[in-house]
Amino acid sequence: MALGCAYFSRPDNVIAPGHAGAPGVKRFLLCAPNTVIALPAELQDVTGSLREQVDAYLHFHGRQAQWLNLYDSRRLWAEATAAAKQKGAVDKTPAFFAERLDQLYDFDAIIMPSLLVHKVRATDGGAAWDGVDRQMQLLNKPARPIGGQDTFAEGVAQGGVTGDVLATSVHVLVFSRTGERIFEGRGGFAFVHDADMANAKKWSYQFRIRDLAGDIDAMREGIAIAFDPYLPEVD
Amino acid sequence: MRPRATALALVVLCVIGCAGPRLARPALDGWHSVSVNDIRIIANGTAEETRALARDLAGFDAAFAFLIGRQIPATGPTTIALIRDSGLKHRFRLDRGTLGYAFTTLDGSLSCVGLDHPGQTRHVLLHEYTHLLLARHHDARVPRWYNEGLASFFETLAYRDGALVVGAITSDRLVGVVKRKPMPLAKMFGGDREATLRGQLISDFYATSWALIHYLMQTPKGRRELSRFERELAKGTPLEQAREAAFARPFPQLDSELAVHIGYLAHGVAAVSVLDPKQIAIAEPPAAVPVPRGEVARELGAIALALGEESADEAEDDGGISSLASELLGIAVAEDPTSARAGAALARARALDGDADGSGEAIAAALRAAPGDVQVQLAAGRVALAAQDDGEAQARFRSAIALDERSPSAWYGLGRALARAGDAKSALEAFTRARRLGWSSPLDLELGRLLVAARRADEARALLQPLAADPHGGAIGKKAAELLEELDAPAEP
Repeated sequence: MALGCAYFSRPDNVIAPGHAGAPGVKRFLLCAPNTVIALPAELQDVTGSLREQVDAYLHFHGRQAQWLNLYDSRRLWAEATAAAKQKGAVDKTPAFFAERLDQLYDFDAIIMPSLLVHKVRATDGGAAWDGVDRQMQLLNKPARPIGGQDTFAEGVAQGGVTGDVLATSVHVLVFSRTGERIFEGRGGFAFVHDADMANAKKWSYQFRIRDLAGDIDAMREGIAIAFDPYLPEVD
Repeated sequence: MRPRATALALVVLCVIGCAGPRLARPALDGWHSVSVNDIRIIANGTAEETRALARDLAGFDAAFAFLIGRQIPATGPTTIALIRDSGLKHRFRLDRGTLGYAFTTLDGSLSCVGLDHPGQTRHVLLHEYTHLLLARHHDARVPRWYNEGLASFFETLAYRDGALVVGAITSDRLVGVVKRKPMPLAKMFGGDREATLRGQLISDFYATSWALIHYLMQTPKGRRELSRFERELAKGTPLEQAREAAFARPFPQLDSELAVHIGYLAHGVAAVSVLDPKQIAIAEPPAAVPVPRGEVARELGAIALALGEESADEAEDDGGISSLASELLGIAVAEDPTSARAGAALARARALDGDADGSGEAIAAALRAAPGDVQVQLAAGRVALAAQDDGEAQARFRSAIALDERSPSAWYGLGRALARAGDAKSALEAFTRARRLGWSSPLDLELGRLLVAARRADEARALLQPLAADPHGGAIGKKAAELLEELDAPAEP
């Protein structure tokens, strides 16, 4: 049953035929996380950990990783966009990007990793998305029943948060040396917030930003799912 | 035995009286400090944490100068205290939703920020620091939307993946501005408190302020416009003319440009400024050094004292801050009994705390130890003011002026003593002299009050309008608004 549920929520990662397992690719060139996808301010401190863990995952698969810093990633992508626009083919931006990178670096494929923030539906504090199941953490949960009229807080304390909440996923795009998109995948990471019940008697809980940079196990799971089946997840 | 001991302890506490729980000894241990770009950071954290905060501030200064096109020079020393200890935070009122605050006195700029989750601390620190920077424009009527919008824009500055990123958007802000739609800019630019800061309008006002700054910061043209706007204000151009000169287009056009920008943000476009740290001049802060307990007590005591004196002037203090100042400065004196300045500061704090005898003893000792120290003479003047001894206060402030005629605090103190004694003309002269040498909102209020009484309406408005428009103006802002109303009231026949 548990296996069935996990399979049901698997993301629809898209891979070009013949690329499962990344055959013939030894050296990856990686753009800084969220080069083109907006990253909310509260998650800016998380990208350092994401780099480390993606790096570790590639090494685990016996691949080499070379990273671009954010300034260069953005500058080169902007130049590629401008060149593509000039030719009237914005959708060819990755090809211009890859061509420019090929002039500057040695690599077999390009990876653009990102952290995505999106809404998921939580029921009793639990939610499943992009291949993972997570339970939202309740901070300062009252040790005793809250009492009085605060039935809403009581319900949260007993069952957890129910409603739309923000969650993060790892997203990866892989391009060939010539800019052909060969893989796109995503894997669930974690809730953005914990629910803090320190003020439970005021009829509510407050969302507190989680220390996502420190949630290494969840991040590793998300990375492995996001790369599967390009660089397959190992049980 | 245990219940009896507890009861006894409670009785003792009640008898000695306490405006707040006494500081736990470890609260003043383990502090570090570092200076960068004339700013002193003193933090209740490790050397690494403290230096990282200094690095954030240095990055901020460089990014601000790069994006705005110039630096706003310092007008006095700046001290920022970052507090982790929960008891100390509570005593400094860093609780109940207040994560930090900043204020400017004649002796320098001060800020207190709670030291929590690194990202949150950085946001609050940079937000408050932006306010301090803009407060350096002493003669400008910096509008509330600009002040808050710029602070919200720069608060998310961060080093990430080898670059300096400015203008990242928090999820809440994005949801707010997309769902609620921006406030019409004509209203944001020209609306009074009633039209902009009531109910849900408050969040619309803040979100729109941020969104407009965010939009303009994305292009060199927009940055030039913002820079021009601030320059015009700094040289005293009236608000409406400054807007015309800087943005040179009607409100509906600006409204529609902003709506397009918000549409991009809603679609997840990474609209941030990414700067290469190698290409902008970022000062490298030195290693943070440990701060002895007495020095921590002196620095924090000085902040509490400044906060308490400002609050006392406006009847905002319930006694908690003045008692904290007394306690901290008492520790500073105990740790270094030879410091006349610490003794003089303790005397001020005790005066503020209503301990006239203790204050008198402390100031007498400080004057015996260092009669030629301008800070000691200034403190003696303030103690005399608190004791309603206007003659003694005048004498002490005149002594301070004789030691340093460029001390704005000495001229301000003299002005207050003269005003109290009923010599409005001489008080006005002394305040005017102080205003040429420094700036603080209480000084502008006092000067504005005398100008209103003298029916010098234009000069009074120039001083009082920025105070009334200050988003964090508190009681001073309200009093300035009342004086402006008085000024606008028809003269009695």
